[in-house]
Amino acid sequence: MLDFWSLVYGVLLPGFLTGIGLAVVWRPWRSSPGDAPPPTRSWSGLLFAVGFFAGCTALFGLPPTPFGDRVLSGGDWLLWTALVAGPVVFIDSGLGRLVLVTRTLLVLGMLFGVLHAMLQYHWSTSEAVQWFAGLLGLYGLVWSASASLAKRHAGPMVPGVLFLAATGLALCIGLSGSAKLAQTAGVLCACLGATLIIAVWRRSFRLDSGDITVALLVLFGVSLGAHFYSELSGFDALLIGACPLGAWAGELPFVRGRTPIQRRLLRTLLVVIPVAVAVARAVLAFEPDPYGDYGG
Amino acid sequence: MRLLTCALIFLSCFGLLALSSPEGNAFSAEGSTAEAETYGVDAVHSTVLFKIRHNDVSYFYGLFGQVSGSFVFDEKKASECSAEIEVKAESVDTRNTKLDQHLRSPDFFDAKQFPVISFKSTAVKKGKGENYSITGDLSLHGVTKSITIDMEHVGTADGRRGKLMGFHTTFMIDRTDFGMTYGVGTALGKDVEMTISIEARKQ
Repeated sequence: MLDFWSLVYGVLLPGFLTGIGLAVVWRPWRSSPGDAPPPTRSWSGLLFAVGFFAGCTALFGLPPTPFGDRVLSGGDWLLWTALVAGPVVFIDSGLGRLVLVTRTLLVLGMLFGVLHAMLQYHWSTSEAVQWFAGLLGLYGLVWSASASLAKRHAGPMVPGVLFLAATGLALCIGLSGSAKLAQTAGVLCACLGATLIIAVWRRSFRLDSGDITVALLVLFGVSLGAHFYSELSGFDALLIGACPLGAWAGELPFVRGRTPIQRRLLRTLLVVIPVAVAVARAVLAFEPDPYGDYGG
Repeated sequence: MRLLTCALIFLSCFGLLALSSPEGNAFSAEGSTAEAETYGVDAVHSTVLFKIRHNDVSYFYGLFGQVSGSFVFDEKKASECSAEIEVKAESVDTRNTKLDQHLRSPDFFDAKQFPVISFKSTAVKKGKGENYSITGDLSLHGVTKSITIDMEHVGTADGRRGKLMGFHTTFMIDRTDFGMTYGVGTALGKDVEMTISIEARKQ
């Protein structure tokens, strides 16, 4: 349940950390973009990771370490994977083709970490292979679309799409079953929201492929946790996770020939409608707690 | 005379044989055993309850519907006794479907990620009367901690399908020790009282 300290730890802290970090790197107050050349590394990815880890740790406590005597939950593994992914994408941009290997390993690490309980207790081997192949393919598709968009379009579009997806996810999870997972999605919203603010402030702001890797890794991780371990429906998770594809649809040839306003409108509708449908479904399915208030 | 001696020897041998027979120990007190016996938990007649302070005004009770496990019981040697109990976290039952769903979610038991709550004894000591002190590992929500509980041996009887034995215990745990922190300090207490009543049948 939301209280003052939940908002401080879950929204202000991660938003502040990510936002201040990005402001220092991108210096949006510079009057001429030429005075402040864009960074050449995945600073946003690193700062997402730090902000997300800090926010979740402030809310729920430090996650247990992977090789201790505690069994980690999927959420714990997601935190550690995000914390590793930030520096990895920051460093690996100079590795040429090896970048694909490192980033695929990060995504596989996230899938294994978040879904290890499904592997251990619920799935047969063939089910596990099918799920992993499907999820890896879906991630690759959404990542390609988002990275391609980010390459073509500077400014708030891509951060806005990701922020909208994270907000929709937080609302759907909050309405469907787990306050803890909703707060986790809220931390992601805060980090992406801070990114959006910087992107609006400095129009030349751009996310690179490493930044997209980390943002989508966390978005997917939270969605998967909410679907497999809580009550988020697969259909809603798919709608939200795939909404960057709606933005990418604006790059299709028959859309590119339209006027800029028409392209922008179509893109907006293709992004907003899936998220709105998912949230509407969650609202309609929501039942007020018949058993009273648990408080915090 | 010789006949009398032979008869006495024969009767003594017969008596010794009867005494040493594992089944026909008519001279032993009822219910006592010469060696450890294994009992399987009767899930229908066993109960696992939890009690937690709610809104600081009342105690809320719930139960787990699926319990299984086994006991090894040796009435003469407590050190030979052992217990293994498993409870399915998803079997939590509060008579309210929405609440049960919430309790199974990552906010509480996280039943899909931690499907089994288990207790495995590591040491058993006899206390006064029919009481036993059992030390063992309680695994809950991915955390394993050693706890010591006092368990009462309620009774032993011959049932229609075999020998029966019953145990009862009540103990407290701090759920935050097991990473279950939702609602602490607001509407839910952190101390949870567990009441476990087990009926087991000899295997």
